[in-house]
Amino acid sequence: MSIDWFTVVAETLNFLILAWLLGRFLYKPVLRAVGQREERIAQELADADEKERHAEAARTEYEQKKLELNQQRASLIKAATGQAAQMKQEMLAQARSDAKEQIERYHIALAQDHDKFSRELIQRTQHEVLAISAKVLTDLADEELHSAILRSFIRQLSAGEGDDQSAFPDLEEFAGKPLLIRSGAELKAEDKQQLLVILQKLFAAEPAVSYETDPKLIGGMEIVSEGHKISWSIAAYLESLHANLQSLMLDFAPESAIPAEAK
Amino acid sequence: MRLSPDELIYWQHGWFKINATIGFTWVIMLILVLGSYLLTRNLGAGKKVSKKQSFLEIIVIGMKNQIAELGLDNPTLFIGFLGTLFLFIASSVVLELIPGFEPPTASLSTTTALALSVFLAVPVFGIMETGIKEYISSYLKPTVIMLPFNIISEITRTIALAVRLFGNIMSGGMIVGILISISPFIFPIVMRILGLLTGMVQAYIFSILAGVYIAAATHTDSPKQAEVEQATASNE
Repeated sequence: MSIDWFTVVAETLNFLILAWLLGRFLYKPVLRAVGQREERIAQELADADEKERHAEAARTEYEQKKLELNQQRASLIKAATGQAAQMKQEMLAQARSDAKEQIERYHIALAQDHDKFSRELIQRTQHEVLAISAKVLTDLADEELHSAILRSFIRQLSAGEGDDQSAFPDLEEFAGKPLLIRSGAELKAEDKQQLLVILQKLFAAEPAVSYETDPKLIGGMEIVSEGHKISWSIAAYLESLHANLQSLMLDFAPESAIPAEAK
Repeated sequence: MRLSPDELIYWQHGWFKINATIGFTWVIMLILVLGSYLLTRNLGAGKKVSKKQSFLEIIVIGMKNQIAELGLDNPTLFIGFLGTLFLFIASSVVLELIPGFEPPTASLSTTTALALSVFLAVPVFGIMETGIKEYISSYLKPTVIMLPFNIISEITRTIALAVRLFGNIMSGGMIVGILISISPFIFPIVMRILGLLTGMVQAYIFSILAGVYIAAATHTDSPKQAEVEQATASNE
C-alpha cells in the first residue's frame, strides 16, 4: 500500500477534467434552467401583482360609483316621492273642488228642476182645480164659474164699502182714473153691468172702464190703473198649496239633494 | 490479497501506465459526463418540469444550498469543484456494488489526488475571492508566530483528508472481502449496505470539509470551520 505518484497526477488531472465537464454538462444547464424558471415565475408574480393592483383600483372605482349611484337613486326617489305627494295633494284638491262644483251644479239643477216641477205642479193644479171647480160649480149650482168668481170679487170690493175692513185697502188710488178690468174669461154683459154698478158706488162717479181677457188669470180677476192693481184669483190658495207641497217634498228628499236656500 | 487497484496494471509503457484506478476513474467519468449530457440535453424552463429534470434539479440545488450553508457567498462558483468531488466519490461507492468494479477511491493515490486538488483549490479560490495579499496575510493571523503552524495545518489536514477517505473506502472493500471468505451468504450483503452508507457519508464529509477549507480561505475569519470540523470528527 503505497502512493503511486503517476496515478496521483493522472487522477488529479482526471478529476479536474471531470469537474470541468460536469460544470459544462450538468451544473450550468440545470442552474440556467432553474434561474430562467425562477426569473419567469418572478415576472409572472410581478405581473399578477400588477393585475391585482389594477383589479383593486377598478374595484375601488366601481364601489365608489356604486355608492354615488345609490346616493343619486335615493335622492331621486326622495324627490319623486315628494313630487308624487305634492301631485297627489293637488289632484285631490282638484278632485274635491271638481266634486264640490259638480255637487253644486247638481244642487242648482235639482233646485231648478224642483222649482220647475213645483211651478208646473202649481200651474197644473191651478188648471185642474179650476177645471174641477168649474165643473163642480157648473154641475152643482148650474152656474158658470166666472160669474161666481166675479160675484166673489164684487163681494170683496163691496166688503170695504163704508168701513175700514176693505179687502183692498188702496182702493182710493183708483178714483177718477181709467180702469182696465182683466179677467180669465170673457165677462157677460150682466156681469160687466154689475161690476160697473159697484165701481160707481165705490168711486162715486162712473169710471172709464175697458175690458180685457187674459187666459193666464186662471179663475181670477184684476183691476189695473196707472201703476196700481187690485186682483183676486185662486192663485193665493194655490200658493198655499205650493208651500205645503214643497214642505212635503223636502221631508222625503235626501239631505244632499236639498238646495241650500231650501234648507 | 490486493489492497489497492493501483496494483492492477492493464497496460504499461515506460513510466506511463494504465492501472485499474485510472481505468475505473475513466469509467466513472464516462458514466457521469454521458449521463449528464443525456439528461440535460433538452431541459425546459417552462412551468411543467419532467421527472428527470426534477431529479437533476433536486441534486444540483441541494448541493448548491449545502455550499451556501457553509458560508460561501457565491455557491455557483464552487459547485463545479465541490459538487464533482461529491459525485465522483458517491458514484465510486455506488458502483462498488457491481461485482468486478474496483472503486478508484479505494486507492490511496486517488484519495491523495483528491486531497491534493483540495490543497490546491483552497489557495486558488482564496486568492480569487479575497485577493493575493489578503490571502497570504491570513497565514500571519493572529500573529506572525502562527505562520508555521498554519502551514503545517494546511498540509496535515490535506493528508488527513486523503487518508480518511482511503481508509474508509478501502476498509469497506476489505471487510467485505474477508467476510466473503468466512461466510459467503447473507452477511456480506448487510456489510455491503453498511459500506454503501458509510461510503455516502464519506463522500459527503469529504466534500463538506473541502468546502469548509475553501470557506475558511475566502472568509479569513470564518467561525464555521471549527464547528464543522468538530461535528465531522464526532461523526467518525
